[in-house]
Order: sequence, then C-alpha cells, then structure tokens
Amino acid sequence: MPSYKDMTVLVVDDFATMRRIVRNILRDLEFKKILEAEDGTAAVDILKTQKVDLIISDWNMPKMTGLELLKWVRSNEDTKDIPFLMVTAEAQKENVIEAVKAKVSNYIVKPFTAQTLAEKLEKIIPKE
Amino acid sequence: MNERSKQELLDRIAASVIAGMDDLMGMGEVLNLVDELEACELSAQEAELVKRLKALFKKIILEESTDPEKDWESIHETIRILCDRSSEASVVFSETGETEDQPVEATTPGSIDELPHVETSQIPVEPEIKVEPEPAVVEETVESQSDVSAGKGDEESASQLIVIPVEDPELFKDFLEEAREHLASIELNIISLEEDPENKEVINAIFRPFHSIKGVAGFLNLKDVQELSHEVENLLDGARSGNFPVTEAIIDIVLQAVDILKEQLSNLEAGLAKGEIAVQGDLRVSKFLKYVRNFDPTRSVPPVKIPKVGEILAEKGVVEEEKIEEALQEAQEEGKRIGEKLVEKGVVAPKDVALALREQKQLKEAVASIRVDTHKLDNLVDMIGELVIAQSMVLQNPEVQKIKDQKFQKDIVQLRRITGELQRISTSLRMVPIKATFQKMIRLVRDLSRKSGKEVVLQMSGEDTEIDRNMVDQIYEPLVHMIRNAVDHGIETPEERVKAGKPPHGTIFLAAEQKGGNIVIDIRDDGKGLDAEKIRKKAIERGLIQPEDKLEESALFDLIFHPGFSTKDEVTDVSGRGVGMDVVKRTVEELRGKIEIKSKRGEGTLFQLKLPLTMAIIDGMVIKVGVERYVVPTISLRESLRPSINDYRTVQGRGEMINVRGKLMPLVRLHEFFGLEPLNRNPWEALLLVVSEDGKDYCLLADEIIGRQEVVIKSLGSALKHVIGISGGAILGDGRVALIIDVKGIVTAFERGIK
Repeated sequence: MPSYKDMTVLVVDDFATMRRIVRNILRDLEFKKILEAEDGTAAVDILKTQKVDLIISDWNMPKMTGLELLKWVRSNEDTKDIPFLMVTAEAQKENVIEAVKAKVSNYIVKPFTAQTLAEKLEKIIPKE
Repeated sequence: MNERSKQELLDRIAASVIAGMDDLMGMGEVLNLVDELEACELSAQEAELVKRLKALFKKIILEESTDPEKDWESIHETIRILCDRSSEASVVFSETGETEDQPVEATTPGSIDELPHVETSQIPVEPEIKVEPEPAVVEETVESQSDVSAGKGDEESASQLIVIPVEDPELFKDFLEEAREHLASIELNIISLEEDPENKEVINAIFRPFHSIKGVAGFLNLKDVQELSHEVENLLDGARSGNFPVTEAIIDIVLQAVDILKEQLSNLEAGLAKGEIAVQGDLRVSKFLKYVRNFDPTRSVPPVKIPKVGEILAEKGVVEEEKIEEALQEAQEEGKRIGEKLVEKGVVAPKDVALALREQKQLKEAVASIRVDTHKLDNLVDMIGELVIAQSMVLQNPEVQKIKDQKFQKDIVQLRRITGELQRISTSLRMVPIKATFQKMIRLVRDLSRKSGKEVVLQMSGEDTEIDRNMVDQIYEPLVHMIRNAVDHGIETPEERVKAGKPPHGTIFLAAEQKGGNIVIDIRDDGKGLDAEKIRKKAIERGLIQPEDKLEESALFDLIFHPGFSTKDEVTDVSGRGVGMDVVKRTVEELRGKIEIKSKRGEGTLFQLKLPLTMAIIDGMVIKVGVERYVVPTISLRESLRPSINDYRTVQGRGEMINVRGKLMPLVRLHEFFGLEPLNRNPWEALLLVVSEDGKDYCLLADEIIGRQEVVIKSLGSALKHVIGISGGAILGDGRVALIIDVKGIVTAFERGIK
C-alpha cells in the first residue's frame, strides 16, 4: 500500500457534512494533508495555486460539476496527471461512462466504507 | 476520406492498450475512439460489433458483469474482430464462423442481454438471444402494487422501527444543520419552479440537495431519509431529463417530501439528545414511499386537443365551416396548407390566418405548461358579471314582474343562487396565497443582510392570506423595494443597535391580513425610524416644499413618495438605483390600493399596504349624489360625517372648508364635479365623506349613504375609460350599474381647479 502520509488530497463536495465524512475516512487511511473545496470552481482555484496529489470529487455540484472539474483537470498541463476519483451515487451510475471518457481514474459509489475507498485508491495511485 | 479516417481509428483501437479491468483511463481512451468510429459510415456488422463493445465496456466499468473475466476476454475478441473485419471484408464470414464457438457468445443470461437486435441481424455471431427482464424492477413493482392492495404493509413496516445508537453526534449535528439549509433552498426553488416548470436549472437546483442529503444519509445509516430522498431524486431526475413535465402533482410530492424530511430531522435531533435515533420504519415515510413508487408522472398530464387552424377560423366566425371543408379538400389534393388555400380562394384575409396560427401556437404552449391563462379567467369573471346583469334585467322587466306563479318564483330563487355561486367561484379561481411571494423575501433579506453587514431577521405572518393572482406579481417589486429600504435605511448596524439598547440583530416583520374586502400588508422594521427633519431639509433642497411650509409629520413622511424625492446620488449596493418610493406608490395605486407610513424615531417604521382582495371586486360604499348612485372604494374612505353648521367656513383663496375636530379640510362638491342637481346644497344637511390623498384630507359632499357592499368591477368602454374621477363601473347587488369614483382623480382635479 502506498504511503498516504505525504500526499495532499483535495476533497470536493458542496455538502459540508459529506466532506467531513470523507475527511474522517481519509484520516483513518492515514492521510495527513486534506484540502477541501465546496464546488468545482473553488477546486480549480486551489489547483491553480497548490500542488495536489489526489482529487476526490463529488459529481453533482452547483456552478461546476465534478465532470466539468475533471475535464478542466485533464486539459490543464499542470494537473492532467493527478489521480481523480469521482464520487457518484447509485442512481447516477450511468453517467460514469461519461466520466470514463473524460479520463477519470476511477469512481466510487456512495455510501462507501473506508475499505472500499482504500481499495479504489490502491488502484489509481501510481506505485513507487 | 471517410474510409481512411475510419481505418485510422480502427488502427488506433487495435493498437490501444488497456492495462486491466481497473484501467478506466485506458478504457476511456478506447471508448472515445469507438465513439468517433460510430460517427463514420459502418456496415451493419461493424455497427453491431461497436454496439457490443460499448455494452461490454459499460458492464465492466459499472461492475455489473456476472463474469468479468469472460467479458474482458470478449472485449479483446470483439476489438480483434472489428479491426480485422473492416480491413478485409472477405474474411468476415469465415471469421464469424470461428467466433461462433467463442465462449463469449454463450447464452449466459446477462452477458448479451444488451443486444436484443442481434437476433434479426445477419451476423450469425449470437446463436440465441435471451432477453432478460431486469429482475429488480419487476420485483419492486410487484411488491409495491401488492402493498397497496393489501394495505397491510403499513403495520408491518411500522412494527419494524429500527433504532440505533449514535456514534458521532457532532457529525449528526452538522448534518441536521446542513440538511435544513438545503430543505429551505428546495422550498425557495420550488416557487421558481411553479412559475417556470420547464426550467432545467431550477429542477437541477432542487434535485441536487435531495441528492446530497441522500448521500450523507447513506453514510449515517439513515435508511428512511435515504430512501425518501432517493425516490424524489429519481422523480426529479426523470423531469430533468425531460421524460415528463413537472406537474403540480410532482411539485406536491416534492413539498411533501420536504415536510417529512423536516419532521425526520426533528425526530433525529430529539433522538440525538437521548443518544439513540430511529433510522428506519417510520410509518409516514413508508406510506409516502409507496405513493411515490406507484406514481406515474407520465400519466398525470391531461390530454388537451389543439384545434386546427380551420377550426379556429370557423369559431371566430371569420369563415363558414362549409367553406373550410371545401378548402380543406382542395388543399389536401394540391398539397397545400389550409391557411394558404383559404387566402388563395379569397375567403379570409392573410391577417386572420396569421392570427389563427398565433392563437394555435399559444394554445400549444399552454398545453405544454398546463397553466390557465389569467386572461381566460378574467374573461370568465367578466362574462359572469354580464350574466348577473342580464339576469337582473330580465327579472326587473315589468312584464316578468307581473308573473305571480309560485313555481316561477322558486325557479328565480334557484337561478339567483346559482349565479351567485358562479360569481363566487369565478373570483376564487384567481386567488392564490401570498405565501410564495413572501417566501421569496426570505432569500432577499438573507442576501441583503449579508451584503450590508447588518444582521437582519425576517418574521412573517398571514402567509396563507389569499390575493388575486394578477396582483401577486405586481406587488412583488414594491415589496422588494420596501424591504431593501428597510435593510438599507431602517435597520442600524449591530454596533449602533447595541448602543441604542436594542438587540444586535434587526427584525423585519412582514404580515398579511384580510380586513373586510381588503388585504393589508405590513412591512415593519425595528430600525431607527424616519427622520422627519432630514426629510424636510431634503424636500426643501429639492424644491418640493417651501422653508416656510408647516407640515405635519405624517405629511412630511408622505414626501418620500414624491417622484422628485429620491435621486440617484444616494445609490448604495443594497437599495435603489434611483427607483424611488414613488414607483412603489404608483404601483400600489394602479392596483387600487393605498400605502401609508407610520414611523417613530428610534423605534422603527411601518409601511402599510392596503390592497383590494381582487382586481375583479372591490369593497365599496354605495352613495347617492342627486339621483345617481356611485361607489366609493372603502380603501379610500376615512369616515363619513354630517358637520354642524358652525364647522362650515369659507377661507380666502382656498374655497370652502370643513372643520373636522379642529382640522380644516377642503370641501369637494361631487355634484358639481359630475354636473348633477343635488338633493342638499348645504353640507350640514348633506353627508361628508372624509378621504385622504397624499397626506391631505378632503371632504367629499354627497347626499346619502346607501350601504357598503362588494361590487363586481366592470371595465368601461373606451369612450368612458379616460373620464376624470371615474375608475370603472360596478354591478350592484340589484344588477344595476353604478360608476366607481376615483378619489385621487377627483382630488387632483379639484386641486388643479383652485390653482
């Protein structure tokens, strides 16, 4: 398992409680540096100024959706290789194909456990 | 050209590398190429393969495959066939023959159910197709249907109330707070949705919070909340995708869901205090879920027939039906459109066809939005007014009055009852609660208070008060303006408030109440109140009053309604851009309403709007001037009195005045105004109606008060529309018509007459 301690992860969700839940799970997985953004545009602002090693983003957000954020990340030279985990809901699973076409690293369906998240991360974070 | 890029795509697909089933990015790459390939000209076989490839990818990506290894192999196999096949068409059949034995093509249920069309296609790749219905869906429908018929499910699920201990109370508290905010935003957006049911943005804005709540509820194991949000989310998703229009039934479901969720949140909060919460098995939730699951959103749209252009023309009497029939036949034979043919034959003018087409288009649009045009309602109300008049004309006919037959008398009573009921219903059709308008103010106040840095709370009452639909839209702007004013000029900053011994947060009270035939809307703040001295100075500066003018405080306050009072140089971020209170006043007066100010320094300001309940009916005082009857809107009336002879005096340069309890008011002789012979010329023998306009009081001289009643307003024909002093006609209880007095018009004309 790769070491998460030194990685900076950006959690994007418009629902603060949701961010808190994800943050708690990430802490359990020994992540130390966790940034938060309340929608795609806020995430873009962070990505423009800080180095981020992993993005975990909700799909459905006002202003800029997770898919739009993903497309921005992939089209930007500095961010195009950042592993991107899309959080989606069971009902929206059909949309996942869209995200795959936009080069999402992987996706996770709400609600998830720390273990599922760990498994997904293992799949998308490049091993040293 | 096409072929080459197609070959290129196939080469790239063949060369692409997908590292494994977890390599979604690699799959994405191929999927994009496949999408591009689909845009090329493909043979039937190629198209089938592409379709299959996409289906297989989808299954792998969504982890829906029953046998991923096998499907994974199939993907590679399909890519191989696809890429070989198109380069050498002759190989196709032998290749296909080979693939027949591939394990990929086995009839494993679920592995190829996405390809139902293959059965009829020429590719012998799939020897047999089983179309499997999705088991989950079937189960659900069956279950929910049986639930309803049995009706037993309720007790069962209720008895299974599941209670769990709380692990992380802080998280729950956060969730409760945030969920409540989201529910409030849903309610606000629902209002916008009702106005614009096709606005996808709004639907999305309602969808999103349900989605978020559901997501978190899933983590917190709140099964009831999760399922409920899920069902509503599904419904909204359908509407969002345009599968069905947003109907009132759907809006009702959403609102009901919000109510139940609110209740659930309160229950959770209560449970939180005990350390144990009920997460599943709430009776109300299960009932609601059952209803929603059985709800068919596509069925709730009533079919409405859109008339043909010919029908519209015939209905309007532009052309006879026979002629249309005739033209229609010819038009069909010649392949022309009916309107074209009719014009060609010279039976209708092009203008009429254009109008009919427009009408048809409007009807189509109306069908799509399922709203009733208020003009139609107005028309209905008007026609019912006519009916009442016609009825009384018949009944007052001397010949009819001679009839003594008892049966006839009974029938008349019945007829009157029906027309009366009709009248009542028709007006009530246009009434809507003022709630929606009020609720928009919540958001406004929140935004304003954030922008201005002042803490402002909005309190509301009487939201259920009903008001004419036509007026609702029109009072919106004035309300917004007054609330802006209250926040901007009324409420002080928290520091100032504390210094003045008030709580740091200011309060705006918004209240509606029905009083008699009027609706009274109060906009009150507990801010610093109006500064009479400042208003006075400014009015002098603007030349509205002279420095020597002595005005009462209330008259000074009324100056803020003067068009010349507010100007652009006091634009702030929060309140006006030069649009002043004069616009507010004008709007209110156009609605036959009145606005009044009460204010006390340091304690706050009250703006009181008095509006007629509806535009179709006014609460009026029927008076007599000479032999004529007139209606004075009670909204304009302060009191009526008969002065003593000593109260009457003539003031040099100001004409006749009446002393009402120490206050001199100009006397306006209505009989002179209308050119009638009065019964009494002396005010002490006649009757005075005290009215107030623009902060000034006047006494109108009339002969007699007949009584107060609600009268149906009839707009006057164009000839009488602009007669000064008359705002319309009214049908009185006995069916006779009386003119409605426009008090402001009379007073203005009177003032002009003096000057």
